[in-house]
This record gives sequence, C-alpha cells and structure tokens, in this order.
Amino acid sequence: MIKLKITCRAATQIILQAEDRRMPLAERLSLRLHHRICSNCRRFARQVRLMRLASARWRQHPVE
Amino acid sequence: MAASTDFCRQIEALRPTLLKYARLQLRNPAWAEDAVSETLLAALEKPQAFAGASQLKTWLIGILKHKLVDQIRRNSRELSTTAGTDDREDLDELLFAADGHWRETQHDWGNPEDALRQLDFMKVLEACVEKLPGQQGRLFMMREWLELESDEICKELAITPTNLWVMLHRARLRLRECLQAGWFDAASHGEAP
Repeated sequence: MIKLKITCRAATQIILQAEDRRMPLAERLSLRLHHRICSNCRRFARQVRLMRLASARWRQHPVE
Repeated sequence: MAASTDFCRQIEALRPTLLKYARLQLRNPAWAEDAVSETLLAALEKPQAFAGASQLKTWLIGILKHKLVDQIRRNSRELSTTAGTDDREDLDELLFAADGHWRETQHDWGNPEDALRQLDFMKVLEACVEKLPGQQGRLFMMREWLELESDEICKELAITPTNLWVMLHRARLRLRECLQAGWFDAASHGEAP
C-alpha cells in the first residue's frame, strides 16, 4: 500500500528532489496532501520556487 | 580576420567577470584561469563570430560555459573522488525534530519579484553560492548555471544519482539558510517606506 501520510522532513526531500527529476505519482500525491495541512512546508516550497527563479535570473543577467 | 585593439580591450575588461564565474564553477583557481584563457583565445581568434549578435558579455559567457564543461571532463577523475567529502554537517538534523516536524516556523519570503528585481539580492545570492562547500557548489553550478541534466552530471563525474541528489539537497538547504540570514532576516533593503 502507498504511504500517503508523510513527515515535514520527507516532504522537504520531495520538494527538493523535484528540482532535479520528475517525482513518482505517489510522492507527488502525498506531498499535495501534506501541503493541505502544513503551512511550514507550503512556505518551504515557495522558498524553493523563489530560489529557482533567482537562479534563472542570475544565469540570464550576470552580476558584474 | 584579426581582432582589433578596441575589441581586445573590451574583452580584457570582461576578464574579471569571466574569472569569477569560472571559479564559482570549478572551485580551483588554476583550472579557472585555464578556462578563462581558452575563452579569451577563442574569442580573439574568431571575432567575426560575435558580429554584435548579442551583448559581448553574453557571448563570452556562452563560450566560457563550453570551456568549463571541457575542464570538468578533463579533471573528472579528480572531481569524482572528492565527492561528498567536504560536508560533515547534516542540516536536516538541525532543521527537523526526531518526529520529522520542523523545529522552527518557516518564513514567508513574499513575492519573488520583490526580491529578484533588486541587484543587491542577486549579489547576496552570488555570495551564498560562493559559500557552498566545494563539491556541493560545483554540482549546484553544473545544475543551475551550466544547466546540465542530472544524468549528464552523473556521467561526467561518475557519481550515482543518489549521491548527486543528496549533494544538491544539502546545497539547496544551505543556500536557503544563507538567503534567509543574508537577505530576508536583514532589515529593509533600501525600499521606499
């Protein structure tokens, strides 16, 4: 059986790994479920998104 | 076609910027010097390839990225043996309690555009990338700056996907801590009150 209930630690691992590979469906679903009840992990996910956007900006506009 | 003196001068002026990125990527001053020298030579040998198609800086950085990949290939053996030896601190243990919950409340970083449009934020980001431990920094740069796919990185450095993910996981957690401390915890950033 798929384990849908995950800890914050496991959730952050999924959020970070999703930056580098496509996550399996079970992981994506358990993360979605976790986000419903956890504001800390929602914030963490938004922080990671900001870092991704920042990296892209940095790549496109080199700092002198 | 030989490069004009003016062209040489313009290229020379961008050398420090190229060297900065080369160092961030390779974490080895000698290899970085080599990559930048090869970049400048390539540019001076084929000035007609530039033809004002883009900004000179953008064009040079494009060449540099190829030379950096060459350097990584050339030194891959040395690079793969240093994998995972430079970080003994497990950030996960500091962030999470034994039951897997966050030890502290996470901060709202707000709208990304608010931070990203500020040059100072980009400088803090760059300083944070520079602070990453050697191999973590190298892998983070390969992924985010050279835009290599995970399987390419694993192949070039002969490391396993799991090893790569562990290192990138740590790098991103460190980067997050550094941005929190260096930008989001800091007071106002010159914004109008």
